[in-house]
Amino acid sequence: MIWEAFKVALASIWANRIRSLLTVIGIIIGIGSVVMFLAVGEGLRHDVNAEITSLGTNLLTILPGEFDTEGGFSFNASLLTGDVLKVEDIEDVKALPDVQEVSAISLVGGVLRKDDRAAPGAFLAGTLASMPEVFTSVQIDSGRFFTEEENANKAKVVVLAPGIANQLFGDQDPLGQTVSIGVEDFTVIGITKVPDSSSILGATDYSTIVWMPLQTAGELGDGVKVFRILVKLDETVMPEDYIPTIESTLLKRHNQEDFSVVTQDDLLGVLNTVLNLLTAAVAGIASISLLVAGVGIMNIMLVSVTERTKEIGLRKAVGAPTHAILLQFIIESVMLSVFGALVAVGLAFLASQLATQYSPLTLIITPYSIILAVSVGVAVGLIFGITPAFRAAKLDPIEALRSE
Amino acid sequence: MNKTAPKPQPVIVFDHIAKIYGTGGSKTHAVKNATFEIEPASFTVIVGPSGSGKSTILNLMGLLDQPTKGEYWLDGLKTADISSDNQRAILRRDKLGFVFQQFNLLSRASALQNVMMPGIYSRKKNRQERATYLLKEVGLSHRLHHRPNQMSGGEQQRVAIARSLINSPRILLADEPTGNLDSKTGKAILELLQELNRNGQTVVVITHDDSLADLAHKVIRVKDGVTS
Repeated sequence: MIWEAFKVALASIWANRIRSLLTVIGIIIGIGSVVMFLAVGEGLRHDVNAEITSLGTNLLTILPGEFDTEGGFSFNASLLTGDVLKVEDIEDVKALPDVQEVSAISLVGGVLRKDDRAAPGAFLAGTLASMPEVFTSVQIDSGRFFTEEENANKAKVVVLAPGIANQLFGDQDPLGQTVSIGVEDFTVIGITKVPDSSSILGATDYSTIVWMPLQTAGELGDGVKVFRILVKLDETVMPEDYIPTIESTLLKRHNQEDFSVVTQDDLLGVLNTVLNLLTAAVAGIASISLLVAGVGIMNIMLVSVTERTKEIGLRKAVGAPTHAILLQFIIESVMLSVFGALVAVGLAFLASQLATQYSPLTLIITPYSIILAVSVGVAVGLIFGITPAFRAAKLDPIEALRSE
Repeated sequence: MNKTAPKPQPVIVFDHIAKIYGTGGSKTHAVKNATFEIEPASFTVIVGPSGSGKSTILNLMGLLDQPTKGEYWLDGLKTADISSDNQRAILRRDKLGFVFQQFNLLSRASALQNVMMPGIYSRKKNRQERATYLLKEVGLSHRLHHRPNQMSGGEQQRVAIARSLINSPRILLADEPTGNLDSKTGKAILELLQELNRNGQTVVVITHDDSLADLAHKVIRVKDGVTS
């Protein structure tokens, strides 16, 4: 009987195919946009994960303030001023066994200029000569990175990201040229590469960074303000096992635990939490359109029941039980919305392929979102089909047969 | 009663049946007193002018409606005991075949699909074979895959008769079966019904047309909601 109900539903949908198609468009848009937003979210997550993993897994990051792996940073004054971590901390950590290399990042204010050209988007950062060894994403394309001596001597040298070099020098070779920050002049000694694994996030990060020695950066501001300490451990050490060692070392100088030591996984976890929340929020907003689509289905099913009153009367007269009529109309509405869901998934798949190919976005449709789309299709069909189906099943056969 | 040969049990017994619509001052006595019996394998014509209550009697006989008073026995079953809609639907499916004045065929389905349709609800295994056989019996073996709008009125009514027989009903109930047909086609349909009756099918025809009374073994006249 279910098979028969399927055939009847299919025949009815086909007989009113234009009307059915117009009804289904709402479902296609609703489910399609939810699937697309999930795909964008998944793509971003994939990019971020690839980015962070590409930096190496045997990395620990020391940051000022408390780091909550569930909700991220809890900002406080010391975090913003960068007064918590000191150059001495860097030295202490460096002296530990199993630590291969240590680097640090400080932030510098000011605008980078070349004569009358400015690069306001440049992200000025102080670091140590060890940076390219700690962070695989920071690599030299031409020229060289600065040395530890240059750092100690507070040499006025900078290493430019290619985007910034291009902005200031165009086709000219920037190596050996002079740029300025405020009243200070700097010599350009190197140009970095844009890393291979450049996602949207990566590309914006690494294509705008201007590196200078940490001590030089301290001269520009009032003293060295360390924002991050990056610790590269030996391959034989599990990063999370090494956290207590670093913490106890730092606590000798710090009176309280006003810093955090986190692994790459912790950073990933926070980013994923934020991304998941964002994705869910956007997909949730998109799913409002599903409500509209559902009302459309209900409307068309009510029309269908009214049009087929006589048919329903006949079926009941010749012995169709109530549940058979109910089933027939529910199957019809579920078929409509599931058809819409499948078309939506198909279109979303095509769109994600195109977007991945022709835009910087990576869109990933997971099996989970396909299952979700089809389940939502079934649910919409059931929820919005049940009222019209009940109306059909409750018709009085005498009245129904008399109708025109 | 001490008869040597037992009289066959009537398939339909109407015992002082009344049907009242509405309540209070707006009460309508559609049927005041209907009392009759229909024997198996008989050809019965229920005749009466419009408004006489014969349609209500048909609805009551067809288990589409329930009497206000009186007892209706269908094939030995006291129908008052069967109150659920679904049980009544099952009884309609198994015991009754309906033929309507308007044919009431599914316009999107072929003759064969129309005939098979009630078999879906009885989960009849060989419904396609039986439907093909029945369409052949009513003279439409060349019209199996035609849709109603590709057939004449007479052909459509033949499809409807074949449909009424798919579940081998005890009684075939025909409501003005010739009402939408010209006299020649109508006559052919009545001949078909008579032929079915000769083969043992119990047939009840409800009509306003007095001339149909000539065909019947038994005539039940309805006037102002009373049978005689």
